[in-house]
Amino acid sequence: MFLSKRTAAQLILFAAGIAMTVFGVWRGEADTVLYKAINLCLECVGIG
Amino acid sequence: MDKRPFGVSRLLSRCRGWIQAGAALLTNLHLPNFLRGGLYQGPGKRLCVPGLNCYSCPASAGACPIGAFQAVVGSSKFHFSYYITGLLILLGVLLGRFICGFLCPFGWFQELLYKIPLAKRSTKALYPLTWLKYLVLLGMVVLLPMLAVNQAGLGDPFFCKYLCPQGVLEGAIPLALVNPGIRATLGDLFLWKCGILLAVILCSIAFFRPFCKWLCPLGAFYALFNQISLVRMQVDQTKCISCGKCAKACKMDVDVTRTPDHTECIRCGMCVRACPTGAVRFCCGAPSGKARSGAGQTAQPTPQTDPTKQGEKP
Amino acid sequence: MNRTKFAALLLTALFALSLAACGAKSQPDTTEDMAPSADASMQQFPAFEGKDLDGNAVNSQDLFSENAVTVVNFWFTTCGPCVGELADLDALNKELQKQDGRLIGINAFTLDGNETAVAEAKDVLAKTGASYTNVYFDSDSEAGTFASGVYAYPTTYVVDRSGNLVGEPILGAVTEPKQMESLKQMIQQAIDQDKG
Repeated sequence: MFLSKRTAAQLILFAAGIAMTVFGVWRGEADTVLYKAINLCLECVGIG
Repeated sequence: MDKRPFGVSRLLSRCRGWIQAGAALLTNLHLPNFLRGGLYQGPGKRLCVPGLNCYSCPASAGACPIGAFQAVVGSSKFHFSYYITGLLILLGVLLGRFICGFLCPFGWFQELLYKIPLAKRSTKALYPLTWLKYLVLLGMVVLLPMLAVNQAGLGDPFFCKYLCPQGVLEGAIPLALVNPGIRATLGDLFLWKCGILLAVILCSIAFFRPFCKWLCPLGAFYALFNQISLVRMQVDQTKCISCGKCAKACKMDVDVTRTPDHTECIRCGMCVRACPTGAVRFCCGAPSGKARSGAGQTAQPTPQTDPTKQGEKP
Repeated sequence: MNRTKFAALLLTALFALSLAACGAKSQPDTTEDMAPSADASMQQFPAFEGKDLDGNAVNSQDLFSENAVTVVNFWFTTCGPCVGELADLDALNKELQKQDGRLIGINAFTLDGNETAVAEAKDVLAKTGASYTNVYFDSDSEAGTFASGVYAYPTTYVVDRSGNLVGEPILGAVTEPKQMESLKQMIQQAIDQDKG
């Protein structure tokens, strides 16, 4: 094997990570994150 | 030639406290907000920070990955977050639990508490509890927000709401101190979260990083990548004299000579400092297959491995 | 340079950076770092001209003057506790209508009439059985600026006939007994003031 198993796993996961991140941003998930993050998520901090 | 890479490892582990402080500050850059009682609302909050840091903290400059994941999964639009998962995979593949050891504000907080000179207890006997954090990840972060939805299809962020002590520490308490409207809303849930925070604080004085070991879902996720992350620990078998000092120094109950990529290793480098021969060091990059990997008993010394790669930080 | 000096310098630099980052942003007209506009010095609910979710024109003057008390609830579509209380707010609206009052909602996503947001808001309202009026207006109007200052959701204001704010805004779901009590007190106060 030219690549060790470890390196192969790293490359595959790296590629998957990039692909998933791009896809998630493209479908608007980052905006959902933004709205939740800039408004006080009362339930997140244990209020009400 | 060998001194330089080893020097970097030693330097890293000695400067870790400062790096943690710096990371906590960069993660929570907007300090004046603590006095104003507001939140940073800029576009930076689209991006997740690597450690556990509540985005309801007034000073927070980014979003919490765990909170953000639950927010996306619990919204009625999406049922899974590719964005957050992808980002966490990238961080995991690059750094693994190095993030826990160097970049997480809540980890730093627990370590500061541990410095308080009161009775310390070992967590070796409590090792089975380390499995709990995977349940927290699977149950509270992934499944419950996905499945326990109200009639409009919205799910609660279960981990944030019922368990996370970081949110009440840097969000609820600072905000309640300066904002009377928020003070008026504090109820039973706040009491419960304060109880959890208090328990974590007390345990952190007696045990080293109990939340990281037993409860943190983010640490649990990164732990899955420890075996294959670029940054990891490496033991040079030609130098190791099996004195056992590294295992004794390790507060996460890991023996780096036997299992350097253990899921519990937060890459803090205490073993690097304890080693009398400089056999243990940080490693970055992927040395070829003949270098030692996880089990590491039969590896022969690898003088041909490129020395400029070892111990270099990205 | 010894380690302590270096560390002190680094921390000072980082601290200065954080102050600069905030200083540059905390101009009064920026919306990036918002402090809650919940202080009592803000006496009036800003006048607005907007539409309800079906596109009918709505005017704050008419809205407030027709009722002894108007309860204004700020919410947004992906906010769990906001959506969780919609059904109860609908019940409260029906109760208020018997007392010369009403309840309206403002969904922060629907400002500027964003079509997707309006459709999603209507969908959620239908799913939770909330039939009361929800309005939107331009985000760069006075009311829009006021709305962008609301950063804790849900937030509920009580407004009297002349458009004045009564009491302090309620943060968090009004389904909490403590919050519902405060809300009812303020509503009663507005009704009494209206009669007297």
